[in-house]
Amino acid sequence: MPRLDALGVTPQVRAALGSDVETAEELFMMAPGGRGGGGGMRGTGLGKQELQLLQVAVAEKTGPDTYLHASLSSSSICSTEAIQSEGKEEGGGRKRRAVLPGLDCACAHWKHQLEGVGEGGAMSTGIKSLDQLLSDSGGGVPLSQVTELVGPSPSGKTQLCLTLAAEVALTLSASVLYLDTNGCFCPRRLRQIVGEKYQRQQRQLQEASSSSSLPSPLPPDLPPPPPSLLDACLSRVSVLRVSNEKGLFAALDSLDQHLSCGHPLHRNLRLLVLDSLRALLAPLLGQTMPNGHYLLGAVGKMLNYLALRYGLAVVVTNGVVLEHSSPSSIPTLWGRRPALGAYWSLFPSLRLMLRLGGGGGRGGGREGGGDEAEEDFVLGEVAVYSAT
Amino acid sequence: MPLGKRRPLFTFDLEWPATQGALRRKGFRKAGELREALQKGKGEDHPILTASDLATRAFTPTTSDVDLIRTVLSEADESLNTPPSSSLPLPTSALDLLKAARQPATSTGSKIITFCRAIDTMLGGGVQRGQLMEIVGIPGSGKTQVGIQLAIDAQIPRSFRGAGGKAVFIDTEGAFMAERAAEMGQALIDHLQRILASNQCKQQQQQQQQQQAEDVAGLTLKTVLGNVWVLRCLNDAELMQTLQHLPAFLDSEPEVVLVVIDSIALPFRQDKMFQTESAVAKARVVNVMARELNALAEARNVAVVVTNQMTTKVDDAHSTVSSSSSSSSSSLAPTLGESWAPGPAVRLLLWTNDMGLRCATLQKHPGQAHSTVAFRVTTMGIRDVSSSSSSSSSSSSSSRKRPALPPRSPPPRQQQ
Repeated sequence: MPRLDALGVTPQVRAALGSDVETAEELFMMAPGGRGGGGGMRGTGLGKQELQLLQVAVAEKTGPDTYLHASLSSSSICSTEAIQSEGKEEGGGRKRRAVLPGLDCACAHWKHQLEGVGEGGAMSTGIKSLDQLLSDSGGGVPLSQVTELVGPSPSGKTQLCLTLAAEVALTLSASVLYLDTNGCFCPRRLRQIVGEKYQRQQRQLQEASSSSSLPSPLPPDLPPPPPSLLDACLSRVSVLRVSNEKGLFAALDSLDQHLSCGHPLHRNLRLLVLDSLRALLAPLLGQTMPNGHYLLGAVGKMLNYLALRYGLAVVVTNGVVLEHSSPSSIPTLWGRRPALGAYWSLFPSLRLMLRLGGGGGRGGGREGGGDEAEEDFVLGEVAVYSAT
Repeated sequence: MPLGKRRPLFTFDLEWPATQGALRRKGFRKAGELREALQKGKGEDHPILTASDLATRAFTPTTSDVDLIRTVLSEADESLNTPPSSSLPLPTSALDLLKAARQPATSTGSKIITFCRAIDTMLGGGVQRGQLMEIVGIPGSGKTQVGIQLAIDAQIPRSFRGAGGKAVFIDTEGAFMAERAAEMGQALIDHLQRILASNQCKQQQQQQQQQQAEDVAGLTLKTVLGNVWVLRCLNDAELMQTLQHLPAFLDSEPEVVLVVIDSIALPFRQDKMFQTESAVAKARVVNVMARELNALAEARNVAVVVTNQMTTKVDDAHSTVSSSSSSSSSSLAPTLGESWAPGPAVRLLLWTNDMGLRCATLQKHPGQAHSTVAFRVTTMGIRDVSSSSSSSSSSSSSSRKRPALPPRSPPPRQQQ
């Protein structure tokens, strides 16, 4: 609960607020015009707009879990008189912006967040049926959001993550960061997937170019993909092994630093995959962990922050719990529900549930938004091995 | 604003509740605040954290606390202009991983074979070191036999493209039989001697042959059995203690390349003390165990093979795609539930089909296709179904015996 004087609010402004407004929380509870939220009339000498500006500025500085784009300049909040006098001059709006330069960007970003606008659209998965399933989010994995792949083990979650990574590395020529918790990343398999994707693309190009001629019964032999291309795609995928939540925080922190200063390692990063979040974070939930939910929330917020700030698609893998194991408010699909509890389920904006099919397919159902369209589809052999 | 400055202090690896509690009482929430406080000199209006300050908050007044905080803050050192500090982890590219895996120095001896070529091919060469693997099956399906065979095969010398190390066998069921291990060990020695003899007939490199001869001479039954450490655990508390001491043991014995735990399910199922805990607590213990085994495997580059039992799971109709018309069906599933299941990277199911043939199905693997092969358990150990080594005869005979379509779970014994 940071105090206002520690944040740099000048004594004059504090006097105008009233003597009982000491901490940031109490400032937020105030409303202009004198009626405060916690009971009792709180007179304030600030006008509505000044109070709002002050609240925004203070929130930016303390903002417990709000990460904003613009950094507020470290100059302290100026006095009430200065704000009022600026407002009285003509073009007061412009003048006010000059006085507190960072606030406009902050306000714009807050508006953005409140409206829930997902910027950047979506990234195609390379699998037509999956893109169709995700047509509501733009025909693919949405950027600037956290997507969760839910399913029992094994159900193809890691394979789908590898497929997405291959798609990004090959088609978009962008880089991928893969955070691996239990050694499930297999570079040989990734190379195989990239090779088959390339061949499939070549075949489609051939068919498109030779559509006028008679279709041949057998597909012509395609040349194998050049190893330089495969190597280039593999070099765009970076892998980091994390074994506990401290390692995860360190990894996300370093990623943020690299991205903010433009490290060449993560040039054009588009996809962040966190495989098996459940294995990492499930020990946090339980009666004996003092701050387990804090850490869970911090992870969720960090992922959302990275997604929003850098326009990444963040894909997270989660496990399932059975329907009857414990009562919960999360909806269930196919008798299962995502693990890690109801609190975690607030952080991803899109959830895909996977399960193994009976005869060579995988069923993917989309969860979230009350839409439980269930479709059985077979992921092509380019990406995932079928269940037989 | 970069994350580092705003990173909450509880995400750092500080002690709870001593250090964290004291910092929180002082009003520090973020790493940036603490850094600023420590950088300002004395006499400012900001509260400064000193050793005496920490002492007044009634916990152990050691300067190591302050040192710890300082190292914490050096971790969070950030600036937009300077490059990030080197203490934070850097990822490696997949290409480098692939190249490193293909280096002959690391690729030879990175897999432990089972002497059944079909299973080894299905696994991509054998059991991979540095990974956690799970073998599931009903009692009598051959899990312990595979475990003992792997413990013996871990000692195949590097000159024969084996792992060339020792093994640890943690036995919770009492199923480890030294006589069986002796039989398998003797078969291994005979097999290696046969290979050496046949190599001497062919044109081999003199150095390699000499190395092989030396290794085979050094392998007696006594040394083979002596290279397998057997630990017997009677309940889940002993198992937990053993797992806690295992890293230290592996540090003292750096030649260990394989750890077999047979089985990991029994202590959790039968011990009364564990039964009374809540499901969440049980799930957490199992999850922590999975995580620690994974960390152990990766840190010391050992293969960890864990045996799991099967339990009957009653599924509702909509949990499987191809469900029958009955309202509920029961099937066999590995025990320890979904909190354990994501832990192992590889899962192998051992079962017996209707004709009495032993089969092994790969149910989970990061890089290999799921398939089913047949194997045998003989006096000498785990072997292929067809003992001939020629490809044509073995493929025809094995294709006859290969099961038509493996079910998702082996056929349950009980009626619907």
